[in-house]
Amino acid sequence: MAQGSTNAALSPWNVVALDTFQTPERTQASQWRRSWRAATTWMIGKEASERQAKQESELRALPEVKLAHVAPPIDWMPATERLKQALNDYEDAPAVLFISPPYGGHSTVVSQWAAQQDIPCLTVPTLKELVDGSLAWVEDATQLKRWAIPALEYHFLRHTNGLQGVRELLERALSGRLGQSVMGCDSWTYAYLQHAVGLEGVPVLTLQGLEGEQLAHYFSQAAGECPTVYSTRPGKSILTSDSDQKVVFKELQRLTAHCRGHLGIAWHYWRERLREPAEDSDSSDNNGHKRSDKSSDKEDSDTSQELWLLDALAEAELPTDTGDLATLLLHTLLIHGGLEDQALKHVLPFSDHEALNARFALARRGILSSQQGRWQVAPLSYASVRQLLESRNYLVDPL
Amino acid sequence: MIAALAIAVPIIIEPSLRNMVTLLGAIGLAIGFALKDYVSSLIAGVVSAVELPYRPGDWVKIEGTYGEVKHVGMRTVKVQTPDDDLVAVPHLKLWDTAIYNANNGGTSLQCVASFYLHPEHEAGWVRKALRDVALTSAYLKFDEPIIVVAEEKPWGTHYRIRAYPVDPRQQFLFITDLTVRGKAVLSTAGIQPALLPPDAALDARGAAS
Repeated sequence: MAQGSTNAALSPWNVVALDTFQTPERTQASQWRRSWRAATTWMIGKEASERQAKQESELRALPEVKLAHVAPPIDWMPATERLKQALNDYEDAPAVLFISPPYGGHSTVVSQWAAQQDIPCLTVPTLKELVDGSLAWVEDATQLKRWAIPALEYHFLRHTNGLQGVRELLERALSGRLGQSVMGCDSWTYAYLQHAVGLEGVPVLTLQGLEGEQLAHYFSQAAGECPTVYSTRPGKSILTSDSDQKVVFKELQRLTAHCRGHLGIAWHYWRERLREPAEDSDSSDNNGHKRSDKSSDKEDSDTSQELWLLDALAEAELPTDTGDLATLLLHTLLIHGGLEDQALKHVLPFSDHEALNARFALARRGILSSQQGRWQVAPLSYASVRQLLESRNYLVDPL
Repeated sequence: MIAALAIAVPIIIEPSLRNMVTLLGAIGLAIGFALKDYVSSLIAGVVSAVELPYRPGDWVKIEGTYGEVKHVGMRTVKVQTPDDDLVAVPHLKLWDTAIYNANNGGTSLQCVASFYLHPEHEAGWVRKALRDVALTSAYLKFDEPIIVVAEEKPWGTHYRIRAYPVDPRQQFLFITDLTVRGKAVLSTAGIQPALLPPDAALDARGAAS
């Protein structure tokens, strides 16, 4: 019983109303820390500012097979179940929004929920339909009593015509003329549509932000047989159950605070930063001599589950003098949940080639990544991009 | 120079006490007049440090000079105009000139984009369309209101979008973006611009400013 309640408390799948969402403890401290790290790196150099218990050169990336075992893709089905339960409280609401930040899984969760309930999902309008202000895709919903949209961000453009469809849809849906609906929506799109269309009174659900302990619990459970993971900074174990709880909190709390409690982003950090000891350092002693095969085999079996987590904050940082063009592009991509290259000219006040050049430059530096042809802020850059946009007074998401 | 004066003055003027007092008084008066504005600016500089009529980053208009305050010195305030000229305006303007500060130490600076339309159009639609133009601008600051003002004139209707850019430095790009996209939307909808008689054009310019 006690075990059950502990597991419930450590579950990362708490679906809550938006106004009860909380970022993890030390989120603000994480932002200050990032600024402090940038300043010290600038003053004393990168190497001196990163004194680590284990050097990156002694480690190597995990093979894809091992990575898939240790950090498998997030299974969003528990979140779908929790959403299903949460929706019971909103049976009378004509429309419910489920929002999450980029990589937060809202699209998958709503798709899975719709499939479970045998509810049809509206088709995503084409770029041409959005630019022309076509309402044909909205009419599809008029025939349905219940429907879902997994990703509302793909149903609008920040363009005078591109707003017409989503405005029409939301006006009809919120007034109850289109039956009942559940819409997945990117948190940035939600922030924008709140101003552009008005979403007052709509129930908005989201996944509660995770604390470090919940994150440790999730990563341990996801890996099946819990590996021993050390942090390269203090060199202490951060996942094993017998480790000092304060260390668990400190390291993974830092990670979750950096990710604002979002599992999707934290998972990308986890996956990208996991390392295993390099073969050379395993099979050589301090003088560089090869160990005997026997002792090497023993050592291999001991360290097969020994993993290291590189410093979570070593990421593609944006320089403080990032220009307006890049800033506007990043903000636009976030508001749309990612965009194809062809769409950029419709939503940015620049010429086609200026927008593309800016996109190329950001992609080269690892700030952007492409998923199914849509360019979006890369998961490891999300925190710094959000901080930059917030510091420059751009509209940011509520999560 | 001083030695030359010390030799020359007694030759020209008798060095009596009365003459010396008169001479030094005249010199003091001349220097006082010459430095009047300088000293006034220094005192105004102290007053500006207390009253803060402008700060670095503010967009101000002082006697026809509009631009961003780059530096507030002891005697002058340096304003960078949109044409990239750096204008040094003496603080003494504080005493008798109106100082327009568009953002007053903050980041909210209202911009106005004007549209002059033929009287025959559906005003309600235009109002909504122009609001959407502002809402879809990449430069828009969402914390501040968007207001579309319509004013009927003998030659047609004068619309103004009043909105705020994210950064005051983007004001000209923001107005340009609103104007370009607003024109495109109105043109696509078949709404004709007003054909203004010359005197109405002058009147409209005055109203816009």
